[in-house]
Amino acid sequence: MIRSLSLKNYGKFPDRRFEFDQITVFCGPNEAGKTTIFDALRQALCSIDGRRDRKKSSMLHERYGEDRSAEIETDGERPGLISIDEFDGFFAIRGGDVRYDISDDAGWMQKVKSRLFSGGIDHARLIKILNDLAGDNLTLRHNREIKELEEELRVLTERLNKDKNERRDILGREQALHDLKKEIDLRREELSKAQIKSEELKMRCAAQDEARQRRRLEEASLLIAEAEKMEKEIEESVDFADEQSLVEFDCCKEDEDRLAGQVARMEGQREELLEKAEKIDAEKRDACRQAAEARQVVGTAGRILGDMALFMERSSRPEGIRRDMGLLIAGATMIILGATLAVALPGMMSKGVAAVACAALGVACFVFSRKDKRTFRSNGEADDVARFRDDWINSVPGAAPVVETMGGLQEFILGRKIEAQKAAGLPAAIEEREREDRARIKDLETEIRRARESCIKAKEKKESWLVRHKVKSRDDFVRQAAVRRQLIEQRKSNAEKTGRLCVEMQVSGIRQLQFEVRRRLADFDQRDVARAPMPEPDVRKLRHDAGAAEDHVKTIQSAINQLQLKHEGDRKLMIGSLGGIPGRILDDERRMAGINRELERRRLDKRAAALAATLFGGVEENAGKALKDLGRTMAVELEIALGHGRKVEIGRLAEKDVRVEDASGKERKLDLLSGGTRDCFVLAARIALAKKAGWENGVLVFDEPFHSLDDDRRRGVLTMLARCRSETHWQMVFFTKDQELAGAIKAAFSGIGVKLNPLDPTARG
Amino acid sequence: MPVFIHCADLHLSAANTPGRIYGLAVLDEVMSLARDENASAVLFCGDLFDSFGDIENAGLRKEFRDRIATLPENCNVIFIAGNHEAHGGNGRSIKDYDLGRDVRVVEQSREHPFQLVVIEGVEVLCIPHQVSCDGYGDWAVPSRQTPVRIALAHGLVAGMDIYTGPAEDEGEKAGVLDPDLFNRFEIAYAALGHIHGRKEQKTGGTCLCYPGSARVFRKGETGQHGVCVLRIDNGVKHEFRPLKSAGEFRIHDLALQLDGGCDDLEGISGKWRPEDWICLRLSGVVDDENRVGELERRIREKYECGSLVRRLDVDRSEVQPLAGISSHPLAKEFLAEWKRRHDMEHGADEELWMRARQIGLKELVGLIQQSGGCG
Repeated sequence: MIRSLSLKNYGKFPDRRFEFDQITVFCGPNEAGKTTIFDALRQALCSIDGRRDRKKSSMLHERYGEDRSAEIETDGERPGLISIDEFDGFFAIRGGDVRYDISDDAGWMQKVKSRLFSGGIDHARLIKILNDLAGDNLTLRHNREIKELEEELRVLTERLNKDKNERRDILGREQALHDLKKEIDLRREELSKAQIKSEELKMRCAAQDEARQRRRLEEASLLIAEAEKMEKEIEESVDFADEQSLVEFDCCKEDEDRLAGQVARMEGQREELLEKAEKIDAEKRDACRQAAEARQVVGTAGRILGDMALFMERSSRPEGIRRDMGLLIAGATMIILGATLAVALPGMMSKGVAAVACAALGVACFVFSRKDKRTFRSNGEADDVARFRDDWINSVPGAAPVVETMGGLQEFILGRKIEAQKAAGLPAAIEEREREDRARIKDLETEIRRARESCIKAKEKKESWLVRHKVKSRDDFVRQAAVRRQLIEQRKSNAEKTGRLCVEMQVSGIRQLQFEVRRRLADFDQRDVARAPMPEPDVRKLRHDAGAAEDHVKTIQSAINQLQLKHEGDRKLMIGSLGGIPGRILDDERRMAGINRELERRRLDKRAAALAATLFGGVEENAGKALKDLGRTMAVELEIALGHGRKVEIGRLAEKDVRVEDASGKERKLDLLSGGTRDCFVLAARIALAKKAGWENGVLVFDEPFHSLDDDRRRGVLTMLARCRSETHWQMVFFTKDQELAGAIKAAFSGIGVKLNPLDPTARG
Repeated sequence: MPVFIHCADLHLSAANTPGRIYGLAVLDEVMSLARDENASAVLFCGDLFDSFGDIENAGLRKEFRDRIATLPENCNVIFIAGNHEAHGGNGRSIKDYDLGRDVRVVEQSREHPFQLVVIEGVEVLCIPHQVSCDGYGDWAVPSRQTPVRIALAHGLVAGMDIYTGPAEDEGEKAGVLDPDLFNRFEIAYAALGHIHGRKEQKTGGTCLCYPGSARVFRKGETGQHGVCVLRIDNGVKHEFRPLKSAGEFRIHDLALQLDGGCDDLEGISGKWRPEDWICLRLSGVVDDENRVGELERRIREKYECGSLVRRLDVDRSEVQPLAGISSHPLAKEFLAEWKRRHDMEHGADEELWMRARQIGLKELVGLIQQSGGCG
């Protein structure tokens, strides 16, 4: 409780102390200092913020100056510091506050509500602002910005999707290009291997060429050596240069051969003749023997034939004339010939002679062709034949004649006779031949001897020729001459070859050629070039393989070129590949992330605004409840203030809903009641508000609040204040110029301490 | 089985001693991890140093060399240049400076946009930062010869929904990498650097992984910071390892009461560690701004000066002073209603509730100011 208030340099009080009690009354006329004390008390009870209470603070400064102080002394708990606004709003009830002006369109109750619960702020307006922030009203900055951000996000999303699609396409093409590149790389690998293989084959071919070249050089070297050797041999074989001398040898040889041949032939002949002689001798012996037999046969045959002829003579009869057909034909021929000649020959003489001659001959033939024909007839020819045949068989050994007629037998025996006659004459013929052969042999031996001698001479001549020509034989000479010839031919051939080699190696002369060949061979030796080339079929195959490998390389290279062209072409179509797309995507994504965050923040703000609106709605609801309670409290306080059991009903805390029983007991609206009653209502409301505001160890200050009230009202109000005092235990300070009110206050609060402070307007200090 | 350590964006700097000590402490932990794991390689994927000037600082280089020297002999170190190291002064390059035992430095080069090395049977395709990689289609990267090939790269990979914040990184802009680059060159794992937040994504057969910066570099980099440990067998298995010495960036929104008070700091500061960078965003409407200043002073005294955190930032930009607000009935009722309903929700969607509080008070303040202030 406040015990005292000390003022220093406060208006008209340079240094003054006022005592306080539960109820304190300052009473004095105008200019007595009531307002000064009120301001000082307010200053002492309230926390004055230079910024918050700038207006009131500057008013105090202006009115009372800087150098002032107002201190209160208390016992027990000091009233809690409140703001001036709170003090003025709830705990300082001044005369003007109490006046109820029904012409105030703003509504006194609304102001109370606003002051009590909204601190002067239009609660509904605040909630509307927050609901608008939470809503989708495009006219509001908050929502407009959200829409703009959403639109920007949409555009960005479209652009991003476009870039991503473009990227995907490019990567797709890139992938195709990459695959193409990989293929190119694979083909390059293949090309490299093919080139290696081709090079290897070329090297092998080159090696073979070198080997062949080496072989050729070696052959050339051999050729040169051979040429040298050949020259030497040719030089050494000069003896065989003259091939004409062979003629001499050949002649000798020929002679020798001829003579040897003669000798041989003659010896052969002699041998034959000797053999023949032997044969003849043997033949002669046989012939002699056969001749003897033949003579026997001839004799026998002659005998038998004679017998037979005789027999047949005896037995045959003449039977006509027969012609010799041969002579007939000859005769006819001669006649024809004569006729022909007579026609063909020129000249009458010749014709005649030829014709006559031929005709004569023809006739002669015709004449001599006549012969008597005798025919043998026998009654027992068969027996006769058998008889003669047996005779023959018994006389002559050999094959028996197989005949059945005499003629036949005669013919057989005649034939055998002729044969025997011939046989009988053989020895003589043989002897004749033998004599001839013997003579011939003798001649031959002479010729042989001569031929031998000649042959020996020829041989000696030949031997002499061989010795002279230092050969063992003609063949040897011929061979050596041939060799020489061959050597010469070879030399010629070699010369051609070496000539070509000289041209090939661009040297002149075989010495230089030899030098060059040796040099090159030395080079090949140094490089270890193979001596023996592969067989030609293998070389051909190798060249074929090398050619095929080179073709393969060209094919692959061509394929690579085509692939590269395609790669370049496709690449150009890609217009710079991904380029700045990833950067754009990243920028867009980041911008989108930023926008999304901003949107999130804005949407959060919207939700937060909605929540804040809800909270303020809750506050309003609470305020509504509080106002309801306040209304009840106000109704109670007003009933007390009005007294006389008058009822007050407050439905809703709005002026129009306050109903009060008038003096006649009729319920009337507040604005239809008297001014005093309305002022009472305001006082009651203020008391209710102060209770609602609450102030621990608080102080209620009344500054001429009852001037509009009559005594009855005053009593009612004081009763209300007393009740309030007993409920809240607040100190109450009254400022009035009405002495009677001061007395009434003292009387109303007689049960507790009341301090009366009279104020003299003329007093200082 | 080879083990690699994938580390990025360490941003070692010679300036600012606390920051330098912090960065080197993180490096120490990376080296310790490499030793413990018997790593075959430590891969620094760009921005190892904060600038080229830091590379030129002899003292910092020595500190770096000393730490690298603690690695086993068989541990390779590869360092690809990032955008922060892109510019060399006077035509010099990173290779002109001694960074210690066989550190393989891969810098941008027009002739050689990449390098391919083999470490314990694993091909490593090193792609340093470069302004543009859009010519990668023409890079002569040979076909993979080993079972696994990984890539190191520094830049931004398109398609990973990376949000780096409202402000672009200072200095040279990072190059853009198309994810197709990694598919094309048969990369199983792309060890990436430049993005300070951890992020990974699979594309085709490649795992693209940003482990995030190994240390907290700038404000806003919340979450754990660390490195990835790669175990390479037939494929690549990776595991994120947070680094204790890196700490975390923690941001807390604190709603002030109308009188400038704040009563929920004790609850959240329990999780803070001495390596952490804390940002407190104060918001609300207060009677007296000076009280907020006093609050900030007390907080700094307790946490920053007491080394309970590495760094403390207090953002008061959302604090609006309005005299008399603490006695404004509507403000009080609103905050009372807010607390009542907020406590009923048991902390669900805290951000929404904080924002509702701010907006409600902001609109209320606006109306109060329109009506001429409190009272």
